[in-house]
Amino acid sequence: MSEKICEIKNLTYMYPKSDKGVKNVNLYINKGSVVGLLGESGCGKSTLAKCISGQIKIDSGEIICGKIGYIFQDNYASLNPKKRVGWLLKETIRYSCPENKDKSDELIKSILADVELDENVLVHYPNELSGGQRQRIGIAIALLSNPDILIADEPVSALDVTVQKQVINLINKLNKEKKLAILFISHDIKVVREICNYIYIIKDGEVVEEGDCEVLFNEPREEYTKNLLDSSYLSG
Amino acid sequence: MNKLKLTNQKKAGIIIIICMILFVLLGFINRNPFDLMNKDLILKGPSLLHPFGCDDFGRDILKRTQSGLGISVLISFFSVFIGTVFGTLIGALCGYFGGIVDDFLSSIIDVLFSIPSLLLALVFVSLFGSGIVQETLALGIAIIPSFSKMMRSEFKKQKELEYVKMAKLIHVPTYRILFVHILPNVTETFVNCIFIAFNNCILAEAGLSFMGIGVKPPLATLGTLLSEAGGYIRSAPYMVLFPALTLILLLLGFGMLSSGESFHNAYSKRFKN
Repeated sequence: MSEKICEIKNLTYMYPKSDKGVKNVNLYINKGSVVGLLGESGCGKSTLAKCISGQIKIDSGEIICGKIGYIFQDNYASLNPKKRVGWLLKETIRYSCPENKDKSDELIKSILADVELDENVLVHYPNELSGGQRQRIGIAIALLSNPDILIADEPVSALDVTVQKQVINLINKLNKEKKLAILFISHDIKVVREICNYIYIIKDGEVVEEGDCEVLFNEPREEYTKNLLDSSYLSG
Repeated sequence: MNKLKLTNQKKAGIIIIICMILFVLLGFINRNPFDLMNKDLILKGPSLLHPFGCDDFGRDILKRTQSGLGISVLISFFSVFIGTVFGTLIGALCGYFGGIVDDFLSSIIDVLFSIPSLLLALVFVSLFGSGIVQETLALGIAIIPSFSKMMRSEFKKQKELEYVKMAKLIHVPTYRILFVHILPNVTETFVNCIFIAFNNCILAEAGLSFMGIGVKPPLATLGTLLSEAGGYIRSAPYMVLFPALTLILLLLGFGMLSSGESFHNAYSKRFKN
């Protein structure tokens, strides 16, 4: 049996003065697995990711997780526009893994190789890079903290199709080579099917169905899941 | 090599400010003491030896304008420094933390903000007394409310952006998020605030000195010179003309620097090109 790297028990968070949020969510992620959170826009996927990563203080429940790395949806807004890429990576090492501060240069070289980027990106500002390069920098920052689990919050939704493919391949490679657990959040059913082993379907902040990727895609039990999958086939 | 692209307005502003600085520095070459009185030169009009003429005590107005401009700029510089440091600090804390910190500090700032800066400076001068240090402190404190309000709104806006959330996620300490991560992203407002505050300070200083509650004689600032010249506006208009022209040019220079396209945009363009 695989080792659980992250377990969420009865997690609830409601936005103030609103009926939106996540309700009584239970989920677990095994070491080396890619778990998908699937649901329509606004269903609470990102809120759940923010709760797990500690960006939002939860109302109730329990989060037992190892070290988390977070990949943001908007690769442009998540990188400080006034700092060069090299500075951003060094800053991450300085505060996220201070024990490696002395060998930051070597660490940066190896991380850049992992995310398939050339070293000359270090002297550039984020606005001088392409969307794909920025997303790779976002992944490099998430990896620098040496995480047990990587939360990827719609990491490819802002990218064009070819770059999407490259980033998905990269995430797949990281999962296989580093045995990194990944919580992959998306509303894109095809992307989720391509990358995930296990899927949670979210509707209005609640998990309505879960299961192994192929089983869930081939034999969905819930009406909502069927409709969600049908909409994907309709959209081609 | 790419160069910084500045608007003509900004270029003109920089040229005026450089001229003003040179004008003050040239004062060190002018060996006439700024307070040397000469009864033979009383109310003497502009000449080759005294291009700005002489005042009612026979003192060289050029030398007094140069030294007055220097003192005015120095007072304004340190006042803006005080206002910038404390205004930024208060604004950053209010905007970033919100909640009780914001409520408490903002209510104090709101009270101070409701009083006009010059009046506020007047209150502080009457508390601290007159003199260069006291006037600098008073003007510095008077700037804090407007500066902190501008900075508060900027920090409030920035703290919601994802790069700040990213910094929090990688455990960057709060003081570093505020001043190393966010502050460089508000330079546009920050620099403009400094120039506007500098302009306001020059004006407020001139106002205080004009009312006789600024620096003490024999020192003079541009405001003191205008005040002294008030009685001679018909008989010796040059006494008003040159200090006033200097004051206007100085304000124009800083006004031009703070208007139009920001330095930040000009700097970004440099990279895009």
